[in-house]
Amino acid sequence: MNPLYEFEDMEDYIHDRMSPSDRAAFEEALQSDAGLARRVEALRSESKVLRMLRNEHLLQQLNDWSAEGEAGEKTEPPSPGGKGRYLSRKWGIIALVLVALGLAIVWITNPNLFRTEQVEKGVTPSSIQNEDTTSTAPVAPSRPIAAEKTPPAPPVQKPAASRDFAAIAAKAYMEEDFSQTLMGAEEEASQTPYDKAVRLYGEKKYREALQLLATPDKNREQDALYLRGYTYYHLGQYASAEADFRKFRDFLDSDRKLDAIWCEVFCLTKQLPGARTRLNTVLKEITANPKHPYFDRAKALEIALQQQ
Amino acid sequence: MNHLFNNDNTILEALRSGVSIQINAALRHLCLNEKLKGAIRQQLRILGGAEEDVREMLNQALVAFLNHVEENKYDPTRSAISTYLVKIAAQMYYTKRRSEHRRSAMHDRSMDVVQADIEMNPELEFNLQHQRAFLDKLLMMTGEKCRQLLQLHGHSYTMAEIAEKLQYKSPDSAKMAVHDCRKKLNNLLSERPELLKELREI
Repeated sequence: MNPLYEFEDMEDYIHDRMSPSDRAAFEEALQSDAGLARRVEALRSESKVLRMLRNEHLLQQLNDWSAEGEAGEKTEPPSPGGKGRYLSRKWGIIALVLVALGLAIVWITNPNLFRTEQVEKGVTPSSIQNEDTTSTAPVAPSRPIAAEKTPPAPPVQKPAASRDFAAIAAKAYMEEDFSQTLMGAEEEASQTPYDKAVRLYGEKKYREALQLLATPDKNREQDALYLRGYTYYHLGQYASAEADFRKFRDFLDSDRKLDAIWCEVFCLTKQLPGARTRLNTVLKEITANPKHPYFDRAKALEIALQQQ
Repeated sequence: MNHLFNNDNTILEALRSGVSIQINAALRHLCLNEKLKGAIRQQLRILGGAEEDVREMLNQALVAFLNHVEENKYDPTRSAISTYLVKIAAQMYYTKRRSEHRRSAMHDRSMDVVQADIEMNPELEFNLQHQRAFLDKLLMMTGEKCRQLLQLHGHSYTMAEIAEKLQYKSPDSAKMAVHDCRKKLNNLLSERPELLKELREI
């Protein structure tokens, strides 16, 4: 082994982190030092070993999950449709009754507000979702839907069209200042995972923020969900971002309900042209209500899309 | 807050994210999907498989699928995730059975029915047993702790997560331990050319 070069230098070489002069010197050493060349080759093979180890670990984990799932099944009494389905149906009915009750109370106390909400609910999440899945029945929002069918993937875009869609998406995007949602938690120790995620988001450390947002923060569920939607967006995971924003439709009470619908819109613009039908549906929902705060933007977007 | 997997797009995004939490959530979702399991069960029964093969093949298919996603071998425009997984599981089962009962006429006959369909995915060289034997040989020399550390490191766990799982004092201690293991692995592979050669052939 060339004493001039350590393990870290080889890593820098492989990951192209050397200056041109250092790189040239390293390559010269590689030519004359068989030991160094062998070590570099071994380091290049490391990723394969790590992949194999990862696979080994994953298999173990998958076996554990399967065993957990099967243990859960065994404790449930058999029923023709499966108890899980029965339970979700039961909870679905209870949720529907609660929603109806809530709406009735709101209507009694404030009929005008009820009218606004009705317009807003003109298109249900399930009717939008049905475009992408084979499911036709309304689905409980918190229950993951089985991935049975790939939504139509966007065809290969022509460069000009791609630029146009990018311009539309850029215009539709609306940045949010999450630092305002912090409740004055200045000291590191007193910060909740949400507070930390906001800080990381502000520093554009989206992956780290996402790690923190994966854990439920029940006291600030809506804030966390909204932030996670934005985080997904910045990571380019537009379908996941859209799914998070769409969850706001299921909250009975939320200050962010209307904003979240617009967030759905800008996530959908990033998925154009494949998501065109879904985008049109949400835009129609907004433009059906002239009092909707995003009415003008939705109209302008509709026009821009028609010109495509 | 649970991850919501509404469709194939959200699953793919999670698998491509490079974030261990998201990858695990997507794989768990698929692993516990009863419809998918049912479809694999149906396919394996045609091939003469038993109930215990279903779980094994589904899990192996999920690992192979993740590798295909990362290597951009999976094309979502050609088949849905569930269809793709059923095909991988069937092919894996076929390969396993063929090696076990190469001369069984009945087995060969039943395989012919699905073979044409499975051949749509030619990239299924997934020799788990060979890989496991190689890893056993390699990591016997570096130790079990290194195996665990590198498993988690290979699965993009953060140093904080590795420290928590393997009970290191801090993320920095975990980072140093990972670094040491990688150095050990590098020494081993460079000093034993036969291992490197075997690795190339896997």
